[in-house]
Amino acid sequence: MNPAEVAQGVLLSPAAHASLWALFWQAHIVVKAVIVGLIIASVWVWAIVIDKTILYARMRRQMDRFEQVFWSGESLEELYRTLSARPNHSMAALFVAAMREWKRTYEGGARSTAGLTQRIEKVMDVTIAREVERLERRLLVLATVGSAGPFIGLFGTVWGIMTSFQSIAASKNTSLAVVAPGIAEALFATAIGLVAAIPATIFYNKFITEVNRQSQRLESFADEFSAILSRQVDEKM
Amino acid sequence: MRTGLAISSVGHAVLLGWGLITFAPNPLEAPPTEAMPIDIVPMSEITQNRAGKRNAPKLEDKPAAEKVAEPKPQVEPEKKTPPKPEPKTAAVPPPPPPPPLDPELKGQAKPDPIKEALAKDAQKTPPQPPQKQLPKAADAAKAHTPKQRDFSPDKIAALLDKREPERRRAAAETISPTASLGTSSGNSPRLTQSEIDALRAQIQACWNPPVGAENAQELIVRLRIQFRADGTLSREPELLNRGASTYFQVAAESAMRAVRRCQPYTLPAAKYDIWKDVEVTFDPRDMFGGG
Repeated sequence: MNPAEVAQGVLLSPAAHASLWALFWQAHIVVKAVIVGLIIASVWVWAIVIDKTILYARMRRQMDRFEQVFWSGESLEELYRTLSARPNHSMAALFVAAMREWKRTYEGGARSTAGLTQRIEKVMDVTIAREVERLERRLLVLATVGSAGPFIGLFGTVWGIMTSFQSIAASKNTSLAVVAPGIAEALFATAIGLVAAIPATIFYNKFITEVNRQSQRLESFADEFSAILSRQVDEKM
Repeated sequence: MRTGLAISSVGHAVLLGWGLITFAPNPLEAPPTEAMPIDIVPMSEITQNRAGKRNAPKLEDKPAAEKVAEPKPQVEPEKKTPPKPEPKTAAVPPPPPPPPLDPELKGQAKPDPIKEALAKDAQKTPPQPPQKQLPKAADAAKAHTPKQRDFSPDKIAALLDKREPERRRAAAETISPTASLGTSSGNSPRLTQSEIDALRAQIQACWNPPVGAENAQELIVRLRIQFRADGTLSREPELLNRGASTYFQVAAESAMRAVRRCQPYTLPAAKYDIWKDVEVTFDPRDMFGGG
């Protein structure tokens, strides 16, 4: 073989098919599957991130507005009347649930109010649990992608390197030009895995903190509201 | 959720599309290595030739000559002789006053003083007829002429070449390059062709090139060998190139073995500086080709 030809081949081949698409296209089917799966995971992660960011921002805004209205001295009956039709956010749902229980007891003409405070607290606990569940939904996807993404990518890399070594063994040529494309395509899988996993981990931590803060806020509101209601119960007796 | 998914999908599509378009790695420059026959490149040939003085002036890009030669008008010598002889004619009659008597000489553009002096000598006989007009001085003049030929302090001035020295600096198309940037040792000794051949022959005698290997041009091995003054190796030969072929390792091993096996090399001790560090190229084609 002419050395000049060899050199030409070595020089031209990486430049000729080293584009991202070629890298993907000449990969093994397992590596392809890993890459496609990780891209889908990344799309899903970012969808959740965008969705949750919007949700939490809206939630915070609505809570601020509700607390403002609630502590402004407006009649609780009136507030209940406006909100009961459509309790559109967590704190309003909490308020409506507690008020409904209160009203049911009194309007039903109950003899005793002994169990009322306990019942109200139970209802509010259930509502808080439901609201927090709504806030936390799909966050586990972020956690899963964040922790498993690199491993999946690594699997693709190991598989790609394995196959490229097999092809080296088959071609009986150790030149770098034979080894390099396989390894590059294999490392591409790890890169995609990291691309998916890093934002997932970061946003998971951020959102978990946010959920904790909001549920804490709901808890404290529930405590305050049940205190108000139990005072009312005691006064009526 | 739907908006998030839409935004995310679009974002990924855009990023991937951008990556597909722009992701193109630059190929590394890897010029093909050239095959060379076995030869010896003494390192000192390069190092010694370039060794210069540390404080040598930097060679600037100036005109080759120190000064560009410009056509210099030849300075016409002042004629100081004419005024002097005239008063002397009164006191000392013998010197014939040629300038006033020779109008042709005066009219010349460039009277050469030497020529003038010669002319004076030549005219010493012709001016006699005019001297006869002064009969009193004629005898005295005849008596004085031989003495004047020997030495005349008054005439020294006339005999001196009063022209400005025309050539002050070397003016030429090119000038020799600055001498200060030469070698420190003055001359760089080098191995003669026969000495190179001697070393080559010594190594080749011990070398069993790998036989039966295909692609002999891929089996070129370059070694850096460092010797002691007694001709033994001061350290293990260093492999300077790599080859992709599996046989390359065999070839490299055989070359190193050859260098080690022939160890006390006989080389001119006076030129130890040159051969203490050499690069040797082993080319199997030369072996088989008989070159």
